[in-house]
Amino acid sequence: MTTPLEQATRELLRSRAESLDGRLRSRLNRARQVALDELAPPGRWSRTPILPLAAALGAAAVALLLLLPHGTRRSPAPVAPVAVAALDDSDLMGAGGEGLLDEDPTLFALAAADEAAK
Amino acid sequence: MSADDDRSPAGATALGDAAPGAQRQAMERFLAEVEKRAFQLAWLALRHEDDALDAVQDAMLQLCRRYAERPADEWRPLFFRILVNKVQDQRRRRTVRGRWLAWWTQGQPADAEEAVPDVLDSTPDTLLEPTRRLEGEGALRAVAAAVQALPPRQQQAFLLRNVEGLDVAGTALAMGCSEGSVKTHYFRALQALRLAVGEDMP
Repeated sequence: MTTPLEQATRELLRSRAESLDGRLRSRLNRARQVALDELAPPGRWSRTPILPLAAALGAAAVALLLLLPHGTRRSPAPVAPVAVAALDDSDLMGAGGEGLLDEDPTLFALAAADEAAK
Repeated sequence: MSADDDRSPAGATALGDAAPGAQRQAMERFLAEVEKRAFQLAWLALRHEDDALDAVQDAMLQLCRRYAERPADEWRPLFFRILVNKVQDQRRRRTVRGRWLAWWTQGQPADAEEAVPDVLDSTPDTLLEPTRRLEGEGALRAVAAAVQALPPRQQQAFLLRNVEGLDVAGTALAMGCSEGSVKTHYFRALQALRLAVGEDMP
């Protein structure tokens, strides 16, 4: 059973709570809205760990590029091996016909003597 | 029963699977319905407007963050459990601050002692404005003063049971104690109020 004292105090304290001034009501209202904003469901993408993971990976890649020493990034171009088998006698002669024979007069004289003997 | 409540809860169904909009509306109704009495409870315990507002806002935030998915009929005891904890935290902080201030002022010269302002005393107490408007209602002032004078746990038990309308189990949950303790605190609070304002108060 509720005694008269309990009933009276309840009514008085409830009416006292309802008679808060406008400034306090406004502050309570703001506090309520701030709290309710916590209920707003986050966006679909922000709930998944994909975006933060991708961002972290991207940042790591950029950091890696920046931190790498320059020498490893600018490695010299490989030298193509000379195809020895592709050389033939015409290469010895040179483009204008002056090859090894033109440069060695002894060899030229020997060749001329052979030609005369024939 | 002294804590019979003529108000229906903000909703008696679980809202965990409800649409977010419906949940927000239900939570807003609940908070709007309870916030002024929650502020009164915090203010009566703390006697400081900003501290009381902070406690209420923290309780609102925590309820929305952590317990919004719980059934709506659990919100009230949960909310007041959080609020009671926040009020106790504020009290502890104030006690520590008071001790520190006391220690600090003891170590200062007499003229410097006056230079340390008492933050709590200098804060305007605007909650008294409604009471001043009701100056003719001596009963209200007497009741408010008597409730303010109650020890903290008795005050909480009285406000939660009688003004907020929680049953014994809900009050025990909100206060973090046994139902037997709630009955004891409430009984002693009533005795103190009877002594202070009399049983035949209008």
